[in-house]
Amino acid sequence: MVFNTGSALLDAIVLAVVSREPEGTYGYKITQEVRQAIDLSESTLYPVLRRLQKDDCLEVYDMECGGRNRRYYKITARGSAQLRMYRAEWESYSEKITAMFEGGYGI
Amino acid sequence: MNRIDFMRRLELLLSDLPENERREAVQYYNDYFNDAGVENEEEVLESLGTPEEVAGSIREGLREEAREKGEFSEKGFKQDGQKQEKKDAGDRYRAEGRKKGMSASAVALIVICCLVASPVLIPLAITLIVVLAVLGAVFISLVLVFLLVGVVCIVSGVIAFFGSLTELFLAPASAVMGIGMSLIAVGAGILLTMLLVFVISKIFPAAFCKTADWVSGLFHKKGGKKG
Repeated sequence: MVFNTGSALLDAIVLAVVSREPEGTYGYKITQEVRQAIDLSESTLYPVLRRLQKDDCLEVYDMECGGRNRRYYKITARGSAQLRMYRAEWESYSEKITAMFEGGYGI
Repeated sequence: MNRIDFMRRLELLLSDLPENERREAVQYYNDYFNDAGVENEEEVLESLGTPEEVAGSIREGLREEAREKGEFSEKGFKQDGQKQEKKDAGDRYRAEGRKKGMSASAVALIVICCLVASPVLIPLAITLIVVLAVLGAVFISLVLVFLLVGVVCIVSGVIAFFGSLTELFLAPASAVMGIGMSLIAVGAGILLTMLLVFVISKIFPAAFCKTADWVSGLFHKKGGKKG
């Protein structure tokens, strides 16, 4: 991709992906879903997930699955608030950029 | 390297991290392999990179956390009474992409490779530069020569035209032929000159921009694609 994905945008994408699963989702699945939108290496997401977890935006729990424990990530209230903020920011940002691309400066 | 080697190496590389951080990371990557399934193991190993790179990304993440705690006030902004940080887009994630694979051993390896390859690479680079310079010089001189030819055509055509005019009454047939030929020369000269002026003013700058774009594209892609 020609555009760099900033860490804030990456946080927002990960929060959005996790928030789609009310019961929580797991690392491999999150990675595959994020990779549908942006091109990143498979080792990029662990630090992001870990940080979001420490910032109380995500919570983790282990669930038995096929005879082993799998770690699930679930969005917290704080994570949802953060995601709302990111969405609002993104909306105004992308609108302005789109307006600029289309020749007008509709701000 | 298979999955077991990978995990063993990763654990070893993380052995100086706090116990809970190491366990967390090891569990994550164990889960990751399990969820990818045996059939995707090769592909996952390839996409993850070396254990050194993965360990590097984990460390980098921890370092950034520590740094953030120190400088929250400057870029952070408040919402819901909580400190929430809006990072300058790009900085950190980009840094992650760049730093990947830049451990000390990787740097040393690159340096050694450069040293070993230098007897070949340096003459090759010099040759390439010389060839490009020569090609450029040849092209520029060709253009200048054609421009000169064009101007000479116009000038000599005009002179011949007036010369032929004076002979119009002495030898009408050859004078008319002379006038025709001189007009052809002037026309051809104007055409050639205009063509070259066009080449110099339009194609040169455009080609230069394209080349510059292409070269900068080469460097940008390296950073962007991998990240």
